[in-house]
Amino acid sequence: MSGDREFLEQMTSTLPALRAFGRSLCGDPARADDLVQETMLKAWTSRERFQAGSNFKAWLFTILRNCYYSELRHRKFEVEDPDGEIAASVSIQPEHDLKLQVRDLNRALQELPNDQREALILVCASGLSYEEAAQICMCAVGTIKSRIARARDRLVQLLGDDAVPLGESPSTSTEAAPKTPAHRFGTS
Amino acid sequence: MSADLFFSFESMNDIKIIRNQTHTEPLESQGAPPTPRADSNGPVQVPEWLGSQLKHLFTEVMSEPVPDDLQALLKQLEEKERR
Repeated sequence: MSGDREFLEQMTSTLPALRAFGRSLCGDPARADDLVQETMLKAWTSRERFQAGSNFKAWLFTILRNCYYSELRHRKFEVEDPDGEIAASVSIQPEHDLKLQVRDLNRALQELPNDQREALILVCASGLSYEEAAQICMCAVGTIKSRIARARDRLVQLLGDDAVPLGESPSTSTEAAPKTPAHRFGTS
Repeated sequence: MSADLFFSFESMNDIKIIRNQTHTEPLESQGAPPTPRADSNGPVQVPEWLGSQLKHLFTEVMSEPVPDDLQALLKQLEEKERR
């Protein structure tokens, strides 16, 4: 069926972003890909429920998010990582300062509560709008914004001035987000 | 309409009492420094360095090749679709 073919094409093109979202949620590459695999299967079996023309990426993200929380509830998904071994296994090679900062950011993200981390990732990393993030997280737009604000504050506290890129003065580290459409966050 | 009282002092001898006549009047108008906060009318301010690092974190993963097991699953689903 051409509908199924188009569905698979959409899923294939969304796969990289889905993997990135899964990785951001759980912090572990292998478990993230397990989540993605489960998401793909669930999406395929539920493809009749997807309304053509609606936001396919948000729909897949919702499924993955539900899988993640389901595992948290039923399988105690979160693993204690007091020595940071799992966080350190994130495959980012410290070739230069930016990658070191990214690795620290990944560790810091895992320190956040799940709801704050996902809100921050959905809007500030994957480029979804507040409305799309609210739809995925099944909460109000204001709640998403509050979570992002709290996540921001916590990350700034965790990462501090070490995260300011070389060549920038600390005074530029609190620049306001660039002007964007009111409903969307993200730099161009 | 209730009145909220805010006070600030620059020295022990200089205490100013500012009466806020409405709930929604922002503190900034009272001379207090602007406080980034989440409200329903605009985006949340995030430091530029944090925003760029978040995006970089995300795009790093997106640029990775799709693992073999996920590729295999896609092929299986494609074969089912062809039948």
